[in-house]
Amino acid sequence: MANRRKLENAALALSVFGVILLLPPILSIFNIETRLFGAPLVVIYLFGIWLLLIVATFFLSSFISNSDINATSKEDEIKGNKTTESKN
Amino acid sequence: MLSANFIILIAFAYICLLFAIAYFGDRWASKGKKTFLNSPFIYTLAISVYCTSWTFYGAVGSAARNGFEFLAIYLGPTLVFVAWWFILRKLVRIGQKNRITSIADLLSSRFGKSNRLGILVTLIAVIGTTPYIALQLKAITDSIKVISASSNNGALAGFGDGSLALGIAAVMALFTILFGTRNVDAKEQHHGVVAAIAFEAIVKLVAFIAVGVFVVFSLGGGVESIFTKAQEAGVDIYAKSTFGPRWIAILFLSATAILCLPRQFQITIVENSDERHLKTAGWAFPAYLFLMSIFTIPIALYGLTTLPAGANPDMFVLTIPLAADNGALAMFAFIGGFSSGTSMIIIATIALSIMISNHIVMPIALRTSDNIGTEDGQGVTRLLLTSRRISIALVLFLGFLYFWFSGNSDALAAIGLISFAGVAQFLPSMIAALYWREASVKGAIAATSIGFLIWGWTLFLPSFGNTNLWVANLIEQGPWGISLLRPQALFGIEGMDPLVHSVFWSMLLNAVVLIIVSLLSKQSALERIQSSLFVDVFLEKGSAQSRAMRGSASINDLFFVAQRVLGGKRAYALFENFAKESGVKRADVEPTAEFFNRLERELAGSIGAASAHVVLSKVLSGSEVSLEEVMQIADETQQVMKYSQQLEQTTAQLRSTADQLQTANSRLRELDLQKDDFLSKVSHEVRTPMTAIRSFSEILLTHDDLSKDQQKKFITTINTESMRLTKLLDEILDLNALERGERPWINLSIDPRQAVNRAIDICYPIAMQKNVKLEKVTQARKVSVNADADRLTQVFINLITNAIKYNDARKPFVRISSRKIREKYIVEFADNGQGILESDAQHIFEKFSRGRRKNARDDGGLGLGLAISREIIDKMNGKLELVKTKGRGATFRVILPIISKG
Amino acid sequence: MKIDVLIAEDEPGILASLDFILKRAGWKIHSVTDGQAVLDAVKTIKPKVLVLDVMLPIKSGFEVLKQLRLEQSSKNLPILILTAKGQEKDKELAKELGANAFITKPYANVDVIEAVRMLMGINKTDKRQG
Repeated sequence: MANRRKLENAALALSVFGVILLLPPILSIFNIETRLFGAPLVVIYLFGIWLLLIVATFFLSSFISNSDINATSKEDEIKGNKTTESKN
Repeated sequence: MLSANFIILIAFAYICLLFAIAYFGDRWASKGKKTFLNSPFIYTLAISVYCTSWTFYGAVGSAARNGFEFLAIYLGPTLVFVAWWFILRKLVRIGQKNRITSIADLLSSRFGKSNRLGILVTLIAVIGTTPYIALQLKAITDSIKVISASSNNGALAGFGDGSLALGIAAVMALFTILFGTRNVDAKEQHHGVVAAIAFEAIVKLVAFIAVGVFVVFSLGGGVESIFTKAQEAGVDIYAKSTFGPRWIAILFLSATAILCLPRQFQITIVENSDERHLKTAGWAFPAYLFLMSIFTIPIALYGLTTLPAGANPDMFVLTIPLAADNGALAMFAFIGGFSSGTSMIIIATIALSIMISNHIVMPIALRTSDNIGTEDGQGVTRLLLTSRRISIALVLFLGFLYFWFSGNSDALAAIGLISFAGVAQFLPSMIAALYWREASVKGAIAATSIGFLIWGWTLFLPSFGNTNLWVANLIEQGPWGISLLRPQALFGIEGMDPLVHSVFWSMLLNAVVLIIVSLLSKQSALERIQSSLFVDVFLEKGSAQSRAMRGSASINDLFFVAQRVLGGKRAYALFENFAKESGVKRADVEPTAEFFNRLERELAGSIGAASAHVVLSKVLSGSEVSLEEVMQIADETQQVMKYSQQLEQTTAQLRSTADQLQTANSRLRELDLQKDDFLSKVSHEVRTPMTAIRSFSEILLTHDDLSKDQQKKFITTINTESMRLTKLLDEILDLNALERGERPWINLSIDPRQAVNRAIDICYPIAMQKNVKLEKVTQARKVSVNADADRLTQVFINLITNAIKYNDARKPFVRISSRKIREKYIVEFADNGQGILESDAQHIFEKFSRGRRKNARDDGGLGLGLAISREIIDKMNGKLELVKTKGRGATFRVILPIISKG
Repeated sequence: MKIDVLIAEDEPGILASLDFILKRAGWKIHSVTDGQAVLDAVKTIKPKVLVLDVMLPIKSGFEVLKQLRLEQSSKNLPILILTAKGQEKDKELAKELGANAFITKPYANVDVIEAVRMLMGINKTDKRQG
């Protein structure tokens, strides 16, 4: 599957950006005394990023077909598969 | 208010409900009806055991005390699950391939099956988890106290906190023992318990959201109103100091905890039945955490705003509904909190009991006792179960003791973070186990030990600072007055948050020690094998370096091999039996020939005789056999057994391939024989005319006295034989070309009767010469066939001339008849010659068949004519056959398919 | 008329050539063209030497050879085997079955004459001893 590598990269990027977005200094930008929808901006920001991560993961995962995971695991068990797996 | 009796009754009923769910879950699982239990959502819900009463009660408390800090505890795991493809998938794969039973097993197994590391990890896990269990007991006890506070005449009247907590601990121990240690399974999966935990996950989520909705929309008048009122009441709703080093440390710790906490490892890795479930859990578990956290801040703020100043924020979830006189909601919230506490206790004690029994009790038992596991491993199973049951009770009792002695400690979250930081000490070794090939057991033990010591010194010990004067003094002065070693200011660095300080130093030194010691120490063969098994779990196991295992095999080597092949219990039983029979201790068994034979037989049962023999004879002869090689055979075997179905399929394919090869081979051999036969026949057929030619030319050369007549006669013979030779070669080439399809072949729609007539015309003179009556008896009506007209005529000429040539009847005739039957054109050539012997009939169409060569041999009947004819008719999709007739003579029949007009 | 050489050959061209050269060499010749006829002729005309082709109709030369060697009367009959097959195994078989000489077709006329002459010699020696 040609897309698989791209999906893996996207998943990695998502995790890395998730970490960056949840740490200062990015986080500090939103840590101000402003309210949005009645709640402090930073709270809305954190929950927003959280929701974003959940939705993005949901879509990324849905692109990885079950057979894809299954197929590699079978191949791995029986004869291994060097080409489709990247060492993380 | 609610009576204590009623609450105890509800709690008890709830536990009974869990019993029922676990019981039916086990029943379903054992019946193979795992479809529902096997759902990725059950798996995800079970992972939510992460949300303990610390989440249910403590998150609100934390939000009230420390602002948004609690969010980090849920964002860390979110990040780990978002990246499930990278770490969790590898852990699950390794767990399934190596039948990992706990985090202690994972590390011990990866680092050369080190027992010492297993014990170390188990001890840290127990020490790290005990406060956590105490925390649950405390939360449950507190919640019961809070909810029944106003009714003094209930069953609780005579109970103190301690006896209440002890009662809870006992009931939980009973439940866990009943369902967590029913059997010893190779994969340590507990379907019933997981089902119960999933149920609890739903209960706690719904309960918490119910409280949240009630607080926000019924009491607080919406989100905005809650924040505004809190601000008016003087609460710092922005909590801007939250996002400092402590935020980072907690984010890191929680991400670590979701991997390293024994209970999380148990649920996520060990209880995982299908790697694909991670795909769902990757987003569903973060979503669960999201829902679980969304009402925490409003509840905390509302509590801070409306409840009296002394109220314990950890109990806001209960006290707010109680204050609003909503007893039913409070009861539901209590059940939710109870759920989160019990689920944590159950899974954590199961995970710890497995670790204690497998890594502490078993090795000790194996070392000290000689007669365990002698009967089919039954003894081992019994020992494992007993030790697990005792471990569960022990762990809960330890938790109770911690609760008892640290009764004054009031903040739930603080205890939780201490636990997190404790188990985080596994992280460097775990990451190295997955990704760093060179990490050695010495490195892992040293690193984990140093991390654990620093954690104990800088975080665990100071947690008693409030209750213990000596500890408080230590924190202030340092040991023996050495200020550089003060627990919360190591090396003189002051002013750091104690948690950040501890995490920083312990993780830094842990990682540094791991790297340095690993680089300085040498891995054993077993470590190397295991490291490549783990690091390259997604790769083929072909890359193992060849590392020779020289010298004669020690009993340990043999046991090692047997263990890999037969599994620990069977191997143990085998060695044990043998030791018993030879009257020695297990450790003193000598690798005698007799023992080898027996071991080989046993191994053969698992991996086949050949492999067993190879493995053992190599080990015995001390010849250069890489341990990796042996391991690989053994591991392959395990996989083979595991995937026997696939293997059977493969075997079937192989068998069919072999069959095909065999067929092809025999066909080739046949063709080879045919070729030899053909060459031999060609040789004969060429030599025969050559003989006459040579002989007569010699005669002509050497005898000058020959008469003109003689000379002419001899030269005629030479000429005839030369022509025969030419014809032979032509025919061979023709046949060859036909067979190979070298000649372009075009079938046209023709009338076969014309070909018959032409053939008759051509053969007529020969027939006249030989006095053979050539007659056309019947003729078909006009038809069309797909054929090459010249070739078809050639076939007919061949058949007619044969019939003429070999006809020795007194009144010889050749009769030709043709007709149309169904969609076939049939023409027959019958003669009244000697006919063809039955035995020759089958070979008549073969090359150089001599079926008709008994008498006449004017042009030396080459035996190729019929072979060529058949080849030609084949190309026209027709049939040439010899017909059985009653009377004298032979009849050949040509059948050609008619093409329909239009 | 005492026959010297019996020729068993079914190829007319070859038979003609053998007939000519052996007659020219001064022997009296009789010829047959199939295996059964050889057996009959050996009994009736008692040739001194038999020139035997292998690929004969009805009975092959080897079958004839085998049968001749089994019978007392023809046990010692000198036999020259002629064959166009020319494979080593045929030569082996001929020797095994008791052929005295073996010539592959196509032959040089002199070889055949020499061989027959040699076999005549054997026949004489035989006679003397007997």
